[in-house]
Amino acid sequence: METVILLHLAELDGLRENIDPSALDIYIRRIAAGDTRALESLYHETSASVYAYAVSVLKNVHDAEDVLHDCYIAVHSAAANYSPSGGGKPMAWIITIAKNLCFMKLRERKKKAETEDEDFFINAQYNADHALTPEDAFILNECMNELSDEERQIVVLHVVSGFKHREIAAFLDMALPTVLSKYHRALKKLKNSLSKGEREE
Amino acid sequence: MRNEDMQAKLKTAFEHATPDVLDTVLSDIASGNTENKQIIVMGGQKNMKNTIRNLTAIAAAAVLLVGGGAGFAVYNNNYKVASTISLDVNPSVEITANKKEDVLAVTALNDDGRKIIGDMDFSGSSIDVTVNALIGSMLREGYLSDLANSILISVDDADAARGAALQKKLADDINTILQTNAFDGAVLSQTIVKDSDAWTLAEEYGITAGKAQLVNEIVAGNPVHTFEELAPLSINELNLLTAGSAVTTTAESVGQASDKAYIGSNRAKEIALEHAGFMAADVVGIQVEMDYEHGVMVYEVDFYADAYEYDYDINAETGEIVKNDKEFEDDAWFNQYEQKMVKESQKEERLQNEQASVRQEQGTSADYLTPDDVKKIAFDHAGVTADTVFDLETEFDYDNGRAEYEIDFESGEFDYSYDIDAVTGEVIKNNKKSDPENLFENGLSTTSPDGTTEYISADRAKEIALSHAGVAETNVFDYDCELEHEKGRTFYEVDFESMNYEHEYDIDAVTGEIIRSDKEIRD
Repeated sequence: METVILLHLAELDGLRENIDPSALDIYIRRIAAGDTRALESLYHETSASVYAYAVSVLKNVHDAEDVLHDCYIAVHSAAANYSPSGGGKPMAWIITIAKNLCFMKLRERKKKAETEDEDFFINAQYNADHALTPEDAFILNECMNELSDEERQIVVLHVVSGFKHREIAAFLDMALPTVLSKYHRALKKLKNSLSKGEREE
Repeated sequence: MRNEDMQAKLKTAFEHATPDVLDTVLSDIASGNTENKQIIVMGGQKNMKNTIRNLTAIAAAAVLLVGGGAGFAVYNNNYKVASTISLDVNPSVEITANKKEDVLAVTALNDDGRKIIGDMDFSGSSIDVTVNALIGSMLREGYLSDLANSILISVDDADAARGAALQKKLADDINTILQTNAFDGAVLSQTIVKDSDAWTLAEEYGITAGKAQLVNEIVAGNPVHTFEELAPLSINELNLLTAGSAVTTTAESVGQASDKAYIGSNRAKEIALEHAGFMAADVVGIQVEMDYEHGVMVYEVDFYADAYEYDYDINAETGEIVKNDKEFEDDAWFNQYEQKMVKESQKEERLQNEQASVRQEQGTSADYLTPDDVKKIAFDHAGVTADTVFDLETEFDYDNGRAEYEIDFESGEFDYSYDIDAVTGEVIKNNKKSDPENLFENGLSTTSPDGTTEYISADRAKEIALSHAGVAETNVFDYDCELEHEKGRTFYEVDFESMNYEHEYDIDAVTGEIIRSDKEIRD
């Protein structure tokens, strides 16, 4: 039965807009049972969310890449302890793991007195490795530079990870109206700078 | 650009930017190159029959084992640390011993540890004697009892075989001591995994490497916790956390952690159900787990009832409800809230459009002040501060060839109204009118202007209305309250919207009596 669902999902891969939590549940349970293909599927479904969140918090693409890697190692070893009944929110579980890894990274960085990136996605070499278009890079840099840390995390959690606003409120320990107003302000800022960017081109 | 387009662009950009590290992840997992690679499940062994009572014999055997490497320098045998043994309960102590299993030093790692060592001097004693004395002291001081019966023994020895033998011997020994003490002990024993970062973490947090290893394994198995958060917990608490979950640890476990200091999971269930107003038969999927949240041990109680998911954290010691959460399974409430926020942002968009069309009509490229700017001008002019202002309304208008803002607000007992030039910020017109009812509506006073009558507060009127309507404060939208006089009666006229209805109340301002109530389905 589960296999059937998995095949079905695999066919739809890339077509589906939103991440289906019940599919993630199944992946995590299969990872716990030692199925590495399920880890691959989970990775494909969620890696952008983890990376986007990590880069929003750490503001450094290399540290975010480390967290991305460590996060799936942690997911792999913790999968057996995942309980779908505990709220049944697999994405929130994964992002919580990423959050703790980010905090560890920040502590580490504080000790070594390392700093954040200035131009996050402008580095040409970095671009060459990825499917990043100039517009993508522009949007990401605006997202990194124009938004406050809170605004950026809220936008990323909603847009990339598909968190509902009240889930974000709980996750970031903020009031729902605050999350909503910050979200709308942030989106507006991005729209403005993007249309400005288009005019200037 | 529409919001949806912006969201899609952003999502795509992040997807394109995400590096592909899957291959590294998979190969690290395949090669066991992960921090938690050496997780060995050995829990649940109850091999008590083999408890070796003749400690001397075992000690002798261990010495013989070591003696196999005869010919070492005297220094190496006598003074060099060969094994480090740590005992954690809540007191944490570390024992270092040489190859002959003579104790070199006993160090306390926390205040409780100092207390149990007291002025005992162990140098030169055997490991057995030292451990016996320390356990005795922990029992005397009440650190090990019926309420908290767990102890962790960790052995770090360069010689793996010797370390394993020592671990087993000490675990059996301590088990025997605890068994003779009118309560069942729970003994966790482990050797420190080679090349783990237990020692680094131990140093950083000022705990024993053994405890660091245990905490690290719990965090790895349940990454919603952090090392920092769990490091201060007692071994009994950590043992309870691992018992209720699927966390695998290196430690070998005998006996069960005591939960006698806590209210117990059945009581936790009762408390949650009572608070939610349900009988056990009314709910489905009830689950209780022990966890550490908000800095205390809690019972996590989850269940479903009606269309809600209930989620309680109950202080395991006091039974106090530290968190209770009730979520709609559908998103009706949230959608309504979001609509309201969208309305707000549309309002701003309308203002932008209006200003753009005025610019176009007038052929100017004037920069208009924002509503926030003019609000400040009006407040300064009126001599009021934002926190004393109620019922603020701002409107952009184009009047007689002049772009202006109209601003109305209440502060103290006055109504203010302003026309302010949208370009220069000049105050074109202003008006201040006394309206003593503001004082009541805005909760500033409850005594009538002539000093003869005491009214209920606007807050009280709100409480009366909401409780009559059976609507929670969080589900109230567009709340408004006015003090009215009609037919010799003074009353609060209260309007608000809830999830599905528009409500109206007239509440007698003196008696709090509901004079009129009305409820209509929202459109």
